[in-house]
Amino acid sequence: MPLPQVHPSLKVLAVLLVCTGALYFQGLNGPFIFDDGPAISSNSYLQIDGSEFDDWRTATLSSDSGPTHRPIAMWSFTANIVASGGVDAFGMKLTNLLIHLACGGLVYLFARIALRRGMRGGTASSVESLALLAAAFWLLAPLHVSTVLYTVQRMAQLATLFSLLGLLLYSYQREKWRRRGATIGEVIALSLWLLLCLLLATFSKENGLLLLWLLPVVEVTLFRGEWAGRDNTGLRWLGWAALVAPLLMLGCIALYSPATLVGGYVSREFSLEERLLTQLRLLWQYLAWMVWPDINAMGFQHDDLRLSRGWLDPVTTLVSAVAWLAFTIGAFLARRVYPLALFALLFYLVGHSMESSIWPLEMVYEHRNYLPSVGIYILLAAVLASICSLVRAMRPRLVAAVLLSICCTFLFLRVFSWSEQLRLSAVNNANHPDSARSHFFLAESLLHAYRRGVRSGAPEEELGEYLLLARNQFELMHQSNPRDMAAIVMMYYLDQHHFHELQEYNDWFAVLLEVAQDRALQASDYTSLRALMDCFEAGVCREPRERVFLLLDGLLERYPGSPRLSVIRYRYLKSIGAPEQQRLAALQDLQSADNRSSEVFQSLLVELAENGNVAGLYEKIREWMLWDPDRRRLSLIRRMFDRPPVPAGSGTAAQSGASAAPHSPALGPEA
Amino acid sequence: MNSSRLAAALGPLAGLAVLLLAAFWIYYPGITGPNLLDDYSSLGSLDHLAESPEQLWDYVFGDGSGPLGRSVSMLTFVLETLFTDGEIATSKLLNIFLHLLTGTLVFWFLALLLSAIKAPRYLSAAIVFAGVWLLAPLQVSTVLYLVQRMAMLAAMFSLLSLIFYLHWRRGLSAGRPRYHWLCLSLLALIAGIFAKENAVVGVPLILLTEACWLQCRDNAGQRIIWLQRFTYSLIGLGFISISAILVVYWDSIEARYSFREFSLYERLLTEARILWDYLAQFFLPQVDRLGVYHDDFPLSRSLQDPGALLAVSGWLAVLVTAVLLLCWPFGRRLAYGPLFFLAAHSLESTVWPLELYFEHRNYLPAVGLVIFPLAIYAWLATRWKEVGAPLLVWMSIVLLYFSALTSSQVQIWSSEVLLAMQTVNGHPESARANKEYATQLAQIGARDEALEYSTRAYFSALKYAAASDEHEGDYVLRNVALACIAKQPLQPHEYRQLGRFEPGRPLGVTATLNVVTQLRHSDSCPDFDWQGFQDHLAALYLESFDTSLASANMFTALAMLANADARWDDAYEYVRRSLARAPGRTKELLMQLHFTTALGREKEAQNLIAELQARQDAGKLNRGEQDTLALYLGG
Repeated sequence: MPLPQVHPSLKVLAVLLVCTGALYFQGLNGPFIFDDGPAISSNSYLQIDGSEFDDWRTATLSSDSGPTHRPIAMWSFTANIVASGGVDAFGMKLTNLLIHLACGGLVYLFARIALRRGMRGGTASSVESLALLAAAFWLLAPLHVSTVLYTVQRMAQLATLFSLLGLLLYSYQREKWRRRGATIGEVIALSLWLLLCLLLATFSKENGLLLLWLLPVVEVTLFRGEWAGRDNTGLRWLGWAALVAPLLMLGCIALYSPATLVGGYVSREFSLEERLLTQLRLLWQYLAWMVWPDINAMGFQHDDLRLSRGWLDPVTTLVSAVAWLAFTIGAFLARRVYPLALFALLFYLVGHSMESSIWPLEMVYEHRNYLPSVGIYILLAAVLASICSLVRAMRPRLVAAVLLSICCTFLFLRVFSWSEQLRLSAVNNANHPDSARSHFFLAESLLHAYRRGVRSGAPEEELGEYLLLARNQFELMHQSNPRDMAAIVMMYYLDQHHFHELQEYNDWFAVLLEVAQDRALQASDYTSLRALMDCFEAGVCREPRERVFLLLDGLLERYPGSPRLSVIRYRYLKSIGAPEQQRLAALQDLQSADNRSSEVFQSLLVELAENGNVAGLYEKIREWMLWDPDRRRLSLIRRMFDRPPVPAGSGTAAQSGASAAPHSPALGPEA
Repeated sequence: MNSSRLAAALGPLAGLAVLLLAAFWIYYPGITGPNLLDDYSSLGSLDHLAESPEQLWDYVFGDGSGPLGRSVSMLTFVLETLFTDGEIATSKLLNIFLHLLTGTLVFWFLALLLSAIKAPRYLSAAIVFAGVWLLAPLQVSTVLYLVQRMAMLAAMFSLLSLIFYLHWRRGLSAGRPRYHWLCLSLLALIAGIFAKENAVVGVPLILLTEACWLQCRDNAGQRIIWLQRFTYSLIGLGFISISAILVVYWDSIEARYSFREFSLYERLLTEARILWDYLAQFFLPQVDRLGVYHDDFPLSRSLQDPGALLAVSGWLAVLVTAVLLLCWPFGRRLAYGPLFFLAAHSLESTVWPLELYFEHRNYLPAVGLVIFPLAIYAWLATRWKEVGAPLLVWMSIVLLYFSALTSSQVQIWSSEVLLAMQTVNGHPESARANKEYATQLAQIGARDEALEYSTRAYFSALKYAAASDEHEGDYVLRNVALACIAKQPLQPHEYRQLGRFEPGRPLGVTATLNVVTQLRHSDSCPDFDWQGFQDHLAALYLESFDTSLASANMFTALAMLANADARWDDAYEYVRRSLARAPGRTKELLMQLHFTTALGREKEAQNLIAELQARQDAGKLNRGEQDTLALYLGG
């Protein structure tokens, strides 16, 4: 029996996928970084053996990111952990790579339809070749390294995967309907499939919701209301209406409920206006990284970005805005002649509309381009083809080969830097010397290296160098951003623990007190304050109590009832052995302010358990269950009752409550 | 089945296997859960069976839960006690297996329904929809509540009866009727009725299946006239008979409500709301409210009460719509699910003076709730083939969602403490939930907290008719028990509150008194002033020969408590009053024989022996009673 013939494009695609896999492979040895910690490696709900169904449920719902808790992505992390018998960065990153390859395949299939619809006069074989080229650009883009090899960004990858699947399904069916129309059954079936893709994408990461907005982009730019071989005006207008509707909705929110938009900026050191202005520039920056992959400009930390404070500060803000306007008008006017331009532009802007617009998220992340770049790379492939057809001297295959070779080289280099923690931090630091965070992460990596050395018994002189370098990086970080608490806390810790002689020259605590007076606290500041408490609890740091209370009470005065700060204050009370009543009162006050905080419940349970107050423990657990309607904490609560029944008056249940003790961050004495 | 059909069925059957394994995986942690409510009253006596296996048939036929004795259900409990380790976990495991078996029958039933109308992907659809039934969170309180095996067995046999009927119908439609299927259907129905009486609803369900789903047509689509006449006649006859019975016996049924705090009319109004609540809890479950304690469900006193008018109008609208839908073939199938649900509820959620709300009553009716979307699926997928697959995928997502909810519910049910906490959270005004949580607190020695929840239970019972008013004396007696369990017994001035407010009827129900008796027997409360407490009870009940102070059962229970303290005189007097209220009861006669013997009243003892022997000769003593009597004859 003869073997079935494989389409030549599929062979090329297979080679492309293998090449991409091979280029990424060395990066799979890289570490967990940044948000990987709270989401995966330190997430106790994920540490399961998979034998109980409900453990899977609580693990799947364990993320605190976003309103959906991103269960699809969390489930996939859980599956990784169960499959490899523990938290294993290699397995996680390998899965990310496989998802990247799957997305690449979908980009190819989607590009075929987009190019067929968007290119005038393209032959079937040229469309195939260009679709492959677009997929190759996307797969080999060095910009995507910080998505593929940053484990937690699987959330973005999965959202992209399901969005692409939805777009592909829509385009595939729409292409048929364009020619012959559709039955009601086909319309219902496609709607159901699309809703499924939407559900999966959104529950991977909330920006999967953008699929709903990307569909009208595809409709108005590629299909333009064509139905059963005729132009259908109603359908065309419907497409435009669906495209404009979200903008109108946003306008209404801004008009009638501005607090919804502005409220979140309290915890940011920039305003809504500044964010919007900055994003105008940033969107060009992202675009430049896609077209010209300057890996020295890319990086993990971009906090050295200059904010746009006004239209002329810097002037590139206005230039960017004018350029976006001009390009949009130009693409709109040329939509019939060159529909791919409007398609790519709208796809890119809509794809960025959630993370690069009004929401008070951090300013820059490269992974935000994972889906939006698809349209750009399709356009890029088409533009290259047009240039080649205009300039006879340019041989398309040769041009493509040269460009892809460059991409491969840059990709290899970037993946190489991501394959080892210290190297990654050092490269980031070298590329972004003005970034406070890059100093912090380099310093952290050096401290990790120091701790590893201590554990392996390396000579003290050799290890001391790590400490010195780390401290130096913290100093540089402090110079870059004197208001960042992380650097101050870490130098305070290092001087208290390792560089006693420097204490008389630097009063880091005083600096911290000063910054705490008016700094808008951010997530990293809370982490720093927790680390400071670790230091006090471990007995490594010593400070007069009045000063510490001055710091904590001052912050609480600025953020009254803040559960995070109150827990930090409670931890300090505990570390100094404050009376039991005082500690309990602190927690109970806190509970009345924020009953839902699981951190507060856990602290209270530990407190009650240590006092042998079993009745109180029961009541508090009951209360916790009341405030956990989705039962996301149930596996933790359930474990408290796994032990044998409690005899009356004994402290067994009290002791079992100690299993709910909050997980301590890593900071502490190394040796 | 030829090889190609077998090959086509392999995939779906593998899907069924995966579904059953998943359901087992989800339910398995539930085996560590506790006994609840009626588990004690219905199954508690089985503990003694292992010591005297010869009394097997006494237990099988001695159940008093229903008019027919539920012997099939009791047989399973008896066999389980005799041939397994007798642990609660083993019983719950068997319930889980029974649930999986019933789930398989639901699949079989749905597959037969779908294949009868040649719906596409009928096996896959039957698996997914059966899965929704199998993993609905509403079922947890049936599967993990041991005694509800009775409801499960009744549902299982009813489904078997329906399946056998459909097999007979398949033959009839093809022109080759095989009557052994009809016999099997009848046998299954009878077995179901002896598992629990409400399996009798299997009869209207078969008629509905014929009238609404199969529509009395054969494979060629031709009407089978005689079957149509027979079916419609039976439906008409049943409707007229039930109406006539209700009209004739309305007063008599109403009179049976004398021991309830609600009337027949109020029950009917309230059930209309409860049925909507069941419906909502099946499709959009609020898991925090699920459980066995719903005695805080507000009663509807009249149509003006909030919700009652709406609920009644809603059901009337459903019925009118269903009747209108009967005009179209598809409409009949659409009406089948809701009518199935209502018909299956017709016994427990209508005129009988049962408690108002129990989730296990939905075990069989929920099949109707699954049939409703199944009918929509069948119509859509038959009309537009391409819609079938995405619809099934979406139903699978519902199934996954239900699995997650059920899993969390099973986790709660796997721990006695968590279940008590969850129930009191979900039903803060349920008297039963508060009592249960009070017991948990007492068990860890938290006396004051336990008494606080006991007080909440007392006031909740007074507030809700569904919970029945609690006697003040029962409340004090519960506090006696709780304080004892907490090892910090009540002081005399506290327990002497018993009977202070209602000296004419100091105690209402015997359940708590039985717990106190057990505590006395096990000597688990040595610091309690038992003698003072017994004196107090004797002062309340034995001052004069007044039989209006308590029911016969209460006097018997008091005698057992006195017996635990070897207070034969008191015990004798209690039983005397019990026998005066309910003369000739064997158990009390045997007790009195014991007490008269202990007190040396030989003549009286001889008279009792003679009376008991006469009863034995008349075949009125069961095996256990005969053995007890023999002890006295030997001496």
